[in-house]
Amino acid sequence: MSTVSDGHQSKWLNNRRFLLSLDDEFPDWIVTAAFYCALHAVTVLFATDQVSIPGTHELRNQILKRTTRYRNIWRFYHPLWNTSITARYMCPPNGEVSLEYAHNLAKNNLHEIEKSVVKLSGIDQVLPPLSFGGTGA
Amino acid sequence: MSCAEPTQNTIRIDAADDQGQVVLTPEDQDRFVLSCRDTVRCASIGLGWNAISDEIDAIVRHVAEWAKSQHGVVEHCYVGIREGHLVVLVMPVGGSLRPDLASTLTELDIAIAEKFQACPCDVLQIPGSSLDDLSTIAYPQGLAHVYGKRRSPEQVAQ
Repeated sequence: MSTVSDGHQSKWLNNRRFLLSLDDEFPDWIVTAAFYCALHAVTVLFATDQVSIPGTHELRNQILKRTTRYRNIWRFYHPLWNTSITARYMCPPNGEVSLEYAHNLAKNNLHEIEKSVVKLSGIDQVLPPLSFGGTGA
Repeated sequence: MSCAEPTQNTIRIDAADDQGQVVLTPEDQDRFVLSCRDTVRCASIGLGWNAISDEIDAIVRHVAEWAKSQHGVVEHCYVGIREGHLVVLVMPVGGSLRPDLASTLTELDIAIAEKFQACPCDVLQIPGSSLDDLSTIAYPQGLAHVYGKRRSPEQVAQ
């Protein structure tokens, strides 16, 4: 039987495939896709922990930062969330996200979030490495 | 909730008194009448709002102190409302996104969450140089400028 956790796990992995398909021309979308991978990954953890699934970013953020169990995830999630907002809502030159930083957020921050989610939730999930082609990877 | 010791001047209002009415006289003498139940309800809301208002003031002071410690890295700090929540907007020196500021801001965000429980608050780094650059994130006229060189009206209008 499909569960809430299964549904978000499927979205997480689907977004991950999209992230790895993105060209280096689109650092703003690399950050955004990485953020939405992280969002669905933490939702998998909430579901396995039987935490009510928050319907807004603000509620999700409050749970992550105020719960000791999730505090380390928040340390990697917060910069990803912040940069995805900048990437989506701010225009160049101010809102420009460098390719190097976009790759760094995906390879380090998303990777750390995913590692924590797999460990804390106990799900059986093997994740292929996040390697990007082209420059800056 | 804490309460002062009653004295001979203490007026007692019981929300369970469904017949009683209270005549209230504000400073402008425009008197009005409330039921006991509504009087208790209004007082509770007022006290709750006082607690939130005090906490917002404390968050503003906390952020202003933090920003001073980031002199040379942070250009401006604003506090306002975004999507129904308190938000701290930090504009870095240079106007561009500073990856090296990210973890510092996350620690500020966590410190605020730990210290201030009544007001959910998020901290965001927003690159830019003018108040107008914040307009896609929050309503600029609703932002309180808590750190940085004050802008002239001409700069604000840009």
